[in-house]
Amino acid sequence: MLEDWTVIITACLVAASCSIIGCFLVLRKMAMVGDAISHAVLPGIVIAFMMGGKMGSWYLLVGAAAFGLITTFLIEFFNKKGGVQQDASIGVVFTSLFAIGIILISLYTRNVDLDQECVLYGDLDSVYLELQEPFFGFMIKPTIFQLLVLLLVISTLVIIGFRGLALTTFDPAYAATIGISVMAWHYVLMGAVSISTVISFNSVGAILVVAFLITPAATAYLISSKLIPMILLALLFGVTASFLGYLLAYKINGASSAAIATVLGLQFVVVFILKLFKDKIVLLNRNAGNR
Amino acid sequence: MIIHVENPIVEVHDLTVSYNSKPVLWNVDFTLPVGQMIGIIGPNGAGKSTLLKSLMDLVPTSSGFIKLFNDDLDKVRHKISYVPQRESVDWDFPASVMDVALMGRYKPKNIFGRFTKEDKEIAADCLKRVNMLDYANRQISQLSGGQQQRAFLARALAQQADLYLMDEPFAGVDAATEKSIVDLFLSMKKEGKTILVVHHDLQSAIDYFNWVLLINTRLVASGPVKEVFTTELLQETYGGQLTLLSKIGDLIKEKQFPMREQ
Repeated sequence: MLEDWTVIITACLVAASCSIIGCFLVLRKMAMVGDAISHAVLPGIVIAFMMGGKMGSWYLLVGAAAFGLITTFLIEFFNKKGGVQQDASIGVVFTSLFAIGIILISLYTRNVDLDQECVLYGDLDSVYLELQEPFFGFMIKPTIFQLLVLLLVISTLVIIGFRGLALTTFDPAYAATIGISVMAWHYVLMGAVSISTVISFNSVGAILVVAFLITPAATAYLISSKLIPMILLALLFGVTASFLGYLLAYKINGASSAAIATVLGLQFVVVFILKLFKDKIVLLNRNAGNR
Repeated sequence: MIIHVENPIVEVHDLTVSYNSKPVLWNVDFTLPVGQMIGIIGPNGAGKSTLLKSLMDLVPTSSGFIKLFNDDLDKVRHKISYVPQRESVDWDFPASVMDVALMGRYKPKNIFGRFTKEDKEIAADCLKRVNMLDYANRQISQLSGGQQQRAFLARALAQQADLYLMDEPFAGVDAATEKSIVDLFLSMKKEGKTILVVHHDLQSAIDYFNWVLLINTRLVASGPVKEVFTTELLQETYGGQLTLLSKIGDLIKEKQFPMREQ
């Protein structure tokens, strides 16, 4: 029973942080930048790991955040200065960095607890096996503690920086003309994505992180007419998918990460179909009204 | 023919802007008077929008300097309102018309703060002025092109600036909306505001503006519309598009400049 709750709480915490920050990625049409960062932080993690950090330590965080920002910078640089299309630029940068990370893993960390499988798919169910450690007098699992801090940081960022993020997302040119640094907000957001990715993917893996970043936000986008409700809806979708996904995994005795990502996809499809029906009904009503 | 003015609100010297080492604006040099409706006129790709953007430091300039209110841009940003082309933003963004108008109240100082009651009243007033108050709670994706443009103008009004830079405000709006926007500009001009508008319809330009910049990468002319709208200068701006030009020539003679100035 405790095992179940540990996994569900872990998934919910990742879901919450990622779906909040993901809303801004989706609205900036940068969803794939989230994907890129979640892969390209790998060399940073491996280098930090080789320098003596252990899985889940704060060293890894710094290494990953650095590579996240390098990724963002390179994508921007090739796109703006080199005239390469943004999607091509993303593809070039993140596959190269990810591959470098994989080479580093296979060369130097052969005998330790870091492998490609773990990075890509994570191991949600193993969080339970972690030993509890004391933080501020509470016995808590380190992963869960880190995720709690992450959620706190992300929520604070979005609450305090709401206007800056919203304005630079909707109309960056206008924001620049009133003296707001569009670049600074861009890097703050990308830094947040990098940190979320690296803290999260130890427990859930790079693929589920990307699913949490993009899918709840995309689902909420379909049916939101204001930004704050969109963020809250994304949060709701992310958290409920964590619950339902875990239940599904339990029933079929499968991997929790995959089950959760599947539920996220199903949520999107259901909302998409409902929206199609609703649009049709609105259209029919309008036509009937005109007659 | 470039006429300079005393105490200009906009002063541009030797401005050159290039994209990928191809010049978009070349050696542009002019001064603009306060309190006028000013048109920036020229063919497609002449650098009209780029000129506005370089005034707001949105594009890197290769050479030259710009003074606004006889000062550096960073010191007078609060006195300037820039309205980008309507297509430059994603109108499917989850925001209401009121949200857009309220963006006019953002300043670097209050970016972490909250809106005051005054901010909200100003935004509502500005929506009323562009006849959009009834749509305040509507999502911007449900607006027509003309309504989107008016939402943008409400945001600009909410900035309470003295100098307005408008990039193609008449693009893709119907005749009635165009008329209402022109009326709005005229009432702003009466309040002493200076309005700089990128425009590409020569016929209506004669009616709308009392000062005109003709550009085609180089600045061809800057001066009162009466003196600038000559067949010769228009020909220099538009190159050899003679049919268009002879029509305009007829138009100029016919209308004999019915100025809106009283």
